[in-house]
Amino acid sequence: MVKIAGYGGKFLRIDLTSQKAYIDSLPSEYYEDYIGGRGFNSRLLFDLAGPVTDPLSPEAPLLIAPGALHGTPVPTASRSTATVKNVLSGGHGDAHGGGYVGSELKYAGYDVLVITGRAEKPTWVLINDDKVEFHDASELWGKKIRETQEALKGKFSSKKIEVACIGPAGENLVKYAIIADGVATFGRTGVGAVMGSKNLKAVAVYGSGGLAIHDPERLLKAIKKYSEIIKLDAYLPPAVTYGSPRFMWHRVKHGIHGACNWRLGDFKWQQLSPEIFREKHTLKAASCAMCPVRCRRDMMIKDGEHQGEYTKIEWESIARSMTMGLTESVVVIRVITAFNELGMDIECGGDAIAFAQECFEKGILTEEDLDGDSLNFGDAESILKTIYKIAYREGIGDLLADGCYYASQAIGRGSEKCAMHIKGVGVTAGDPRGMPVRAVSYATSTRGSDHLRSNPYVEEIATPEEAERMFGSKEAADLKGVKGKGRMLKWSEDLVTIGDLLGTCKWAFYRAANMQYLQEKGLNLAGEFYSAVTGRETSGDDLMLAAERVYNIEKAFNVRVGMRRKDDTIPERFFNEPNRGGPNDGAIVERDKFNIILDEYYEARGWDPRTSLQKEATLERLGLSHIKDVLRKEEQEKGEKLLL
Amino acid sequence: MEVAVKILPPADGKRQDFKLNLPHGSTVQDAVDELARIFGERKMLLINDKKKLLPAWKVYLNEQLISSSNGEYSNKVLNEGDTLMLLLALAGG
Repeated sequence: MVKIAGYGGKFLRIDLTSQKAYIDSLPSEYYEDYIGGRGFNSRLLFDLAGPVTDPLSPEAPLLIAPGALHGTPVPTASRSTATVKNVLSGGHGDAHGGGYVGSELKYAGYDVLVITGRAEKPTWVLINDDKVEFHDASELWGKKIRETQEALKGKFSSKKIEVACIGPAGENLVKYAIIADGVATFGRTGVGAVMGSKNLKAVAVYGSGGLAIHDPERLLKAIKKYSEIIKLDAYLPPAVTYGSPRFMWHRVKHGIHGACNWRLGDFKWQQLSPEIFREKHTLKAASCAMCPVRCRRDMMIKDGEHQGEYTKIEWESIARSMTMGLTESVVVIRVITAFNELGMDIECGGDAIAFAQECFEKGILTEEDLDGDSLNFGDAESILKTIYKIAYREGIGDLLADGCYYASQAIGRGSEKCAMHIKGVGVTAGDPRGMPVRAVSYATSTRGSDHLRSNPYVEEIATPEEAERMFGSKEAADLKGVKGKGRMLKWSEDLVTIGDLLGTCKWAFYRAANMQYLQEKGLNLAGEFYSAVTGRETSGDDLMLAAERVYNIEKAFNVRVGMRRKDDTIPERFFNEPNRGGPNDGAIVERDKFNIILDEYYEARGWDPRTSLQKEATLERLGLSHIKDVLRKEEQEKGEKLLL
Repeated sequence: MEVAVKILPPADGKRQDFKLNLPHGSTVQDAVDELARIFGERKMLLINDKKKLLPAWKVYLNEQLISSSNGEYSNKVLNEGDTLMLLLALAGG
């Protein structure tokens, strides 16, 4: 057992095939090199899964690791990482959630949970300190998320127990199924499908232990400093008022709705405004563990035919509703509720449905292909029906359950142009047209299309002087600028990764309204919190180095499965079809700007700009000799360069 | 003269509408200075240590976007009855 304050110290491996559990320790250097959470998982995935591992096979691992500070009083430290071999891309995959299973794992003494094997029949697992029990989940199989959570928590009414579970979508191996952790979600890359492939319905955890804090007084001082900053960081007070639906204003300002399958920059957003959700639908404002910001929102339909339906709503689910052409808040709540309860990621699911809608609009898919139904943008009932078909893999839903990329490969007939994905993973966030570094940031994300893997929005908050000092060019503070953007992207990817290592919030720590606060929170205070909790003196620069190390392990994993520069790209639509309407009317992603930024990014990372392969010296500098050795061995076996 | 200011979303999470009484000939920067005075200890929600509006705030004068990243808009002269909107529309999630 590793004894460091703030950590559980142990490593739990569960094999569902043999129904056995093994308690071990991680190598002590993992704590220094990878810190925790995503860091532990990314290294372990590299070791436990190879290029030919089928993500849905028994031997493929499902890893869940709380961030290093999760379970401590550090503000916003509520995040855990679930990691798998990406069901959609075949490369690195992970998802992050702000629930309580991670802290219970730590209270039970574990810094990482690794699940392999496949149970013979539906199973749920109970973890209580050193005790691990395997239970029949036949009566839970088929239940939706809320029902499953309530049924399991009801068995332990006298104990504080946290449950991570899948819904019908995970059971049916929908490639973008989620794992629900309470009301929080591990949403991306098919983590729920991996859990379903193991016949694992749920993991219930309660731990009776506590976590040591090395220097409580130092920790309290850092908490006070953080509290002072978030009152003065204009990024955060609106979160208290509106929750994440506030991001609508950003889309409106730039005309980057991505509505109707990433074609329209002008859209009828008014009935989806933050004010509408706040005034008409707010049921409850809540927070993830230890978060003073409280941006989580449960939204309810308060009148009419669907009165009483409610669910947790995050901004991106509103955004993907617009991708499906929805314009009314009541319908959006119904659609998001369906995704949440069936246990599917609305990012990829919304893109899959929008893909089918455009194919139907263009006559590539007909009513005959759609089981006798139509599927038009904005048509709530056909969208809801399709969501259920996907979760249960019925009719056209069976195809769409594999995501828009695989569906387009199966359909052909020009449908490929309608599939909005990066590395097989549905496009997220805002339309990148006219903002080249955002396009590149989606492309370089190690888990496929993603906007949370970095913070390209730094270009909105940096002054030209700050941009020049930090990234070598004033252009880096210009939305349409190119110079310095590759360096900015590399910096922000590493910065944001720190949050996934520590388990702190991307919004409350790794977004800010100015560079001063961004660095103060994300680097200086992050180091201070980690040092105070663990007693391991760690600076922001040390954390950046660990983050860079982790990013390189994920890149190496992707290289092993064949990903190269050609895969670090975006859908052709963004290059070729101008955005329609709104302030960004006519904008495209200019290919030459995209490539210049990508070149600069690879240079900043120490990767080869021609192939994107890592340079040996880069891995050596980061202390990743083991990764280098594996790549060298595999390139001999394959007869193909994996490293320069 | 009176100038209306709307801050969206409200920087302090509460108040979003302000009426500023400014001398004739006042500029956008003068309005920002007055807002900073009103915000008092929380003026950093709006300005940096050079007293300039943070780049993250976009400035609309009578519904026309006038801000750019280099802050050149700050000397623009305001008129009686103008409406200034500060829009903090940062991306993130």
